[in-house]
Amino acid sequence: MIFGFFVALGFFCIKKKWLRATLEILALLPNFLPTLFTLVAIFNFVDPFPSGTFGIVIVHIFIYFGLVAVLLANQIESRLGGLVEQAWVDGISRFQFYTKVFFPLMKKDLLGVFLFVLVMCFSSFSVPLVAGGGRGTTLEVLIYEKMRLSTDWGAAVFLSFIQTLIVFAISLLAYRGRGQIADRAVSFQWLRSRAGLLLLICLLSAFVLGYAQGIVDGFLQMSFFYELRFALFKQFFGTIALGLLTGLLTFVLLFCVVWAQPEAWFQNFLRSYFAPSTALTGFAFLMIGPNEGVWPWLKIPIVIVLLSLTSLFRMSWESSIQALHSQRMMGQVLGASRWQIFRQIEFPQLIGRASFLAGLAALWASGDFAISRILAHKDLSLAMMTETLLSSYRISQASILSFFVFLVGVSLFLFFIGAGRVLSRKLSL
Amino acid sequence: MSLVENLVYEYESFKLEIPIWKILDQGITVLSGDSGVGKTTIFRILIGLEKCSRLKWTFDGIDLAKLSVPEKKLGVVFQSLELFPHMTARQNILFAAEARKVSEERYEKKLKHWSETLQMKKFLDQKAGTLSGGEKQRVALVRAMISEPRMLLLDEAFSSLDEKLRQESREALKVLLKEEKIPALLITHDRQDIEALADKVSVLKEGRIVEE
Repeated sequence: MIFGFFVALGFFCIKKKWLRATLEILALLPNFLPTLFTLVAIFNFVDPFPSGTFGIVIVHIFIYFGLVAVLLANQIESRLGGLVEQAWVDGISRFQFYTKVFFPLMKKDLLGVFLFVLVMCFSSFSVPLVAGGGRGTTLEVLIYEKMRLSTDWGAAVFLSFIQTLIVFAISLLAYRGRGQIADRAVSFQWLRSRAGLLLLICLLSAFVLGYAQGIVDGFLQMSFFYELRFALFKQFFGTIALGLLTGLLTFVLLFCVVWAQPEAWFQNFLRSYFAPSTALTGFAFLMIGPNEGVWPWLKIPIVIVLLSLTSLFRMSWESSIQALHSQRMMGQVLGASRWQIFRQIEFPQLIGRASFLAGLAALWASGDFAISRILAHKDLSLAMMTETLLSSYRISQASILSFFVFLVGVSLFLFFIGAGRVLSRKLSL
Repeated sequence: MSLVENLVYEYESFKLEIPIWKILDQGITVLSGDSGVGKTTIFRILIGLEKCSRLKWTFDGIDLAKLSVPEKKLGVVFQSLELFPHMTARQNILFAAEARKVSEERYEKKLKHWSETLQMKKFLDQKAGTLSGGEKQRVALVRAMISEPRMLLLDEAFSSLDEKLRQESREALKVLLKEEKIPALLITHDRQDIEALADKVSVLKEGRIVEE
């Protein structure tokens, strides 16, 4: 929160819109890219890496500082608006502004963002799995260990229930923490912080340089992969298959949500639904049906989609659907059937956003190792192989392999966006 | 005459109470009143977008209040026009024709006639989002009329236009209604709309029709 707050003030130093947008995207990258890349970058940069609680905290700071900064910057602009200019003109000191205006008005938003990050870190699974150093440092990892090592389902379900309760309670608080929205945005020069901008540059540099250093070292040890070439080849296609299936499933499910959207109960369900324990969901699917042959290839995408759908919905799908509300109503008034409204109004206008989100899900799936680790007995993808290398502290090899994961993930992301555009064009002809 | 009975609606401190209200079944009935008195709420209740459990709206012996939104078969032009921005003007009109299952022959004939009468030909194949205010207005009117609705309802439909375009739109509306012999209910607070179009004026004040 502290890093994110200063970086948010750093954003106000930038006047050019394109530059600000670029920096915001860069700051969000560690959050949007699969955790694997952040882990590789930090393992390279912080050497030796302090495995355990402190290590987990460091990784989470890198993952969430950018998201917090972008959220806070937008909230400051929309909530405080003209008050910043007024205070500046009136000659109020910064201290007075922060104590008398900023914190009283922003406290609900700050609390909301804080609780949001708390929930995300609290239920994080992949980070403690790798950065925790093999100890049950979070409830999620403890659930995983209860099932994986001692097959104690009773304790695992109980822990999962406790975790869900805590997450739900925090989420409820976060929901209540939302403040009022102002309708004017103005100049925020007065609040800008060059130190915040410097902090952003330092954190991004650490991320990029750490990753680049790992890749350079990895290239020098390419011979290591020669004996693994057949496995690499297989897992390359495995990664593509998992990504494609996840993307397609996400695309279909997003439109299922659109179809069911007019039902208020369904909308409320998606808003208030929080993904259950990753480990428990994974193990629940492990218990359903066989786990050999094609089954893990089907189960992994299903679990990834189930766990990420609610994030995708809140991220932009809900607002995209809401934006079509008046058009849907107009269609209804004109006498159109549900199918005609879906086919001619909703589908053509949402296809771009759906393919973007499907691409994002495919990117996440290509970098997943945590869910795959639960559902598959052997390495199926490049990301799983990377995690195996990372866990055995072969950082350079893991870095270069994660770079291939990145290339595959980005290719899948672009594929879905491209497919969406082609489909959209065909529909508009 | 079409008869609206028991239009009672409450929302917090706002209340509408119209025991009986007559709407012409030929020509244009105007519902006028100051901003915020509930004109748009009445418009939405009649269309079926707001619930009003005791409402009865008799039109040609049918209680329209009992029918679902599409079954009411009303032509509607909202203040914001609500054209589908990803479709062309032609596709917008076709959408309404398909929804009401207007035959292709009839649709083509009407579209040809109206696009000539209302000078729409040059922009029929343009995306709705790129049209000017006056062009959008004409598309919205034709879209509402293409399926031969029972009645046309317009909510402040000319308010976003400048005076010249308003005059043009009023003329267009007159032409369409005269040709199709469809009654219309126009919600407006613009005196010029009333003078130019109204066959009957109902004034809404404090939730009641106070003058007819």
